[in-house]
Amino acid sequence: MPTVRLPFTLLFPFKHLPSLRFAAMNPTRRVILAGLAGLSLLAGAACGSDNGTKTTTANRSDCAKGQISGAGSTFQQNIEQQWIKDYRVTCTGAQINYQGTGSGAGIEQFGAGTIDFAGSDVTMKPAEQAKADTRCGSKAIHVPVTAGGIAVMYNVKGLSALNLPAKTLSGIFQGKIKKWNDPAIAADNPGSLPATTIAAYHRSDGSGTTKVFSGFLDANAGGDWKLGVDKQLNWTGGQGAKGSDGVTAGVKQTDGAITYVEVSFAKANSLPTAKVKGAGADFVPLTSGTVGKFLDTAFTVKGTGNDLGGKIDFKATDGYPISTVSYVIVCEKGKDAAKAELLKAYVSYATGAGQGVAESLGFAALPASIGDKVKATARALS
Amino acid sequence: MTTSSALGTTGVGGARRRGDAIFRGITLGAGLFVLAILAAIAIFLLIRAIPALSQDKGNFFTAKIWDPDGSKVFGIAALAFGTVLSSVLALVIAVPVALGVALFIVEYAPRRLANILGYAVDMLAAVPSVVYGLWAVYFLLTEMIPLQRFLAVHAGWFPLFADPEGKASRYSQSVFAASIILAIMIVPIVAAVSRDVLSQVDPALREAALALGATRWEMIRVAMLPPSRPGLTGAIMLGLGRALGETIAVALVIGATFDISWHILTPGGNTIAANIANRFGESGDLGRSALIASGLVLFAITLAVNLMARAIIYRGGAVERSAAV
Amino acid sequence: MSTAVLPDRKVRGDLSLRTPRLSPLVAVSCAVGALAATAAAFAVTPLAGRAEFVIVAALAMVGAVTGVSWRIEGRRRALNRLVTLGAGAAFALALLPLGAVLAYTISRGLKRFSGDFLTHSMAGIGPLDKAGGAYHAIIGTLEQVGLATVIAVPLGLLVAIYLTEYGRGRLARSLRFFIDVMTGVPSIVAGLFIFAFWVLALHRGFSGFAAALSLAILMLPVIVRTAEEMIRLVPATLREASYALGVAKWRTIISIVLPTALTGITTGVLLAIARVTGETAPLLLTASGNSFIHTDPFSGPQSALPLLVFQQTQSAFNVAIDRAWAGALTLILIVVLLYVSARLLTRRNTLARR
Repeated sequence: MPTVRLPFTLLFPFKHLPSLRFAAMNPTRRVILAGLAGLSLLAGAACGSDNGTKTTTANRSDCAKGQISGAGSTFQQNIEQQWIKDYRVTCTGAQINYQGTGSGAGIEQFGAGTIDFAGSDVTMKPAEQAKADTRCGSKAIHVPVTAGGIAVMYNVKGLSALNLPAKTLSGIFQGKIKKWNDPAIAADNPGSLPATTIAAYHRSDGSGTTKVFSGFLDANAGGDWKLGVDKQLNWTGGQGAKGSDGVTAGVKQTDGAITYVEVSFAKANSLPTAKVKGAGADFVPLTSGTVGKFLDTAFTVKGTGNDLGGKIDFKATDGYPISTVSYVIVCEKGKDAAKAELLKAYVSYATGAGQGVAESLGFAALPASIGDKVKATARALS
Repeated sequence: MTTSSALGTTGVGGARRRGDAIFRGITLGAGLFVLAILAAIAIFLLIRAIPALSQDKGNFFTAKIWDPDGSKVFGIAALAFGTVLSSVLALVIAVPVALGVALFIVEYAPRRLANILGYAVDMLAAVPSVVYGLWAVYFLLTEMIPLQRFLAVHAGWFPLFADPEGKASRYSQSVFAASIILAIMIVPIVAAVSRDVLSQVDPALREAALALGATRWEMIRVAMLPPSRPGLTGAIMLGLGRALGETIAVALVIGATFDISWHILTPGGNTIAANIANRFGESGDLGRSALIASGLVLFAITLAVNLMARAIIYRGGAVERSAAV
Repeated sequence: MSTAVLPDRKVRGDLSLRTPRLSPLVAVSCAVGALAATAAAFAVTPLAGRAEFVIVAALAMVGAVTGVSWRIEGRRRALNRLVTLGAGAAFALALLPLGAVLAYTISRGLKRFSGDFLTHSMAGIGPLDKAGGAYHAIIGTLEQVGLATVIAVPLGLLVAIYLTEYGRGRLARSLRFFIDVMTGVPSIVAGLFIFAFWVLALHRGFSGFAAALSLAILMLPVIVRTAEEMIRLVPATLREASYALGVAKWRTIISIVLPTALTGITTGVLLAIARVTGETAPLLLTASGNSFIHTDPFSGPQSALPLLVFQQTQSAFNVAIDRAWAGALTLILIVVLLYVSARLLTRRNTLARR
């Protein structure tokens, strides 16, 4: 991490230490240096291994081999890892590498040509699209690969179920609703509420999660939401923490805390999530099914041809309304034939059989309304 | 070389001088190469910062907002303020501790033990910053809440510790948290340099003071501190430099807001380096350029710190130490 | 400062031989008494909390000992005691976080730390899998740091030789100044520079070597400074003896000066290595990261331990968090190994000199 480099002479006073004699290498020194050499040898020797996958079945006929690497969306990281693992079970010899560096960094690196595909929670801006098109020599297209809901996760002693409409959420995250027994919360939650003070955690780093959450509030809080829609906001209340892990740690440690986060964090930490009401009539819990249901009507493709980049209408009335899709960005026609073939096979797998793993990891399968379109696009890659 | 042979120098001497000239040339070349690298870094920062600076719709030096990808309004004011505030606070916490450690090792601990204790303090500097940051998130932040509450309740009259909204007892991701983690990271640096400086004091001075009947503290105050002052100041400046540039540990513990507030216990605060780490992954083109512009400002601040440290040390006449500074 | 003369006669009086001294037993019982009083105060008054207790108790103990000493021994000895206690307390306070960090990392890291962890990569590990390890990251870290050392050490040594042996006047002064400024380059800036210059402009793509370049930028000023001081310490008599024998200056430097300063230079290099081994930000931009074992540092993305730690903590699942702490433990172990080696090298040397 960026630290100010310091002169070590100042750090470690060995003015009194060095030999002032021309010393032949003494035994102790030899032993230590040998030890260090041994360490590097140990690591350098072929005694480590990539985890061998059990190749019980022969490779499928549509297997492609080689190496491709992708980077971008941290939201996708877990499911990408799962797909890579599963893809290699039937197609050994393929090396697919995905690093969650952030959607923005992924798009930049894709445009610069240092990676073969980018993961992104957002569609590219015109300037980025132009750069990516130039890099590809063909059109750079968005392919939706997974969907997911953003959970409203809380940690309040004595509160195991919670209904929150958009207006109340907007009040909580702007610091206007300060106690858990506020009348605004009580209106939707019959029964006794604790008088605990609310501690609202938000992401301190830029995040697609924040963009989806603020997009939902902006559309449904009826003008109460003043902070706009972006990956990072100028928050007026609450507490920032870095990353989903950071906000989760904060919520876990604080009685009365609430945050918005990928649902897998709530599941892994056994923290409850709220039922949410947007433009619809009911409070809806976050499940794989309700996310799919929402996106069925909320997601519309805006791109042309094979480009399936789209938009989410947070005012849609069915399903869980804080939901989004996540894309991979690939070249419609790859320049390197071998890599393009592997990429096609991998994206086809991810958008096909790969959808089955979504729920177990806290994602949702792609909505039925675009499922076939996505598969067709994956097949059309070359 | 002709003149030297005319003067009767042997051929061997000529070769020797040629060898010297070549070797000198190589070392000079290495030096110039390093200068070129630094120049390249500075120019690179400047070039990459220009697009953002020319498109900034706010005032880069006064705006307290950072939105380069959206409204294109962004300014360094809150970041620079937070950077300096957290670093200075870290120094306020770290310097007395570090000087105490240095005095303890040089003056109070038994010689044999002192070396080992010194290594232990140095080890603090060897722990990677990402580990400090994670430790803070999972452990220190929760442990700090009682301390924050204590300060807010019992020292709330002091403006820095004021907690108008009563948040300090619930949240700990604040400038104060950042200062504490920075202090932990710079204590070993300041302590090691100070120890070095203090142990260089002429023993005759110390013995003279003791012989005159001074207590140990009086000896330290009269005989050790005055000649060490420039060196100690330099040590503190180096600690400040390190604190200004620290990234990941600060990014993990700070609330990341864009306001200028003296209430260090209230959640929020931000620094230039932490903001780069927080925003880089999700930034667009202009956003990245803006972050690099902020990096340029940080570069300027650290350069200024370096200049100050050197000025102080040179003025103090400790020219011998200049080799290490 | 020179006005701070020794105490006048009146004050000195209280240091006379007749002034009673505080026996250690009394001092200790004062401290214990203060502790007990604090405990009682916390039990009776509304004061509460662990942090509060530690702070109040510490202040009370120091106050009690100093106060009693003032009554019995006089102001000067009391002040002396206060400073002694303060220095000791500062030392304890400084070691506290070190102990806490190490204890926490070890206790969380040991959960996953094993031979298996050290010899397997993250290839084919799903987000819910317990297996997987840091082998690929250890390889990456050793290769990247090794290459950075190979680049930075000779270059740094040459610059140090120039500064000590040849450099005079304005050029040497400004070179020394700018190397100091270079110590202030934040590591993410070094990473950005290599990303723009090597990865993009020269189209070399991500690689362990690119990471090594950015680490070398960070190591360089440290090595120059350490080596410079070590070379300066070589006594002039050695050089003069060599010159007197008719040896050329450059040969003297290579065969007399450098070997003499070698141990110190080695220590400096090891410490510089220990410092960059934990860098994360420049690696994200240059090596990018990889789940597979990638032994070729010159092309293709490669992992490193700090990257592994950073990425594993981002996951929701405890299996990943455990791996992150085991990775942190591995990182600390490598750094400690280097540090201890450096210390042993130099300590051996101190003994030799005595």
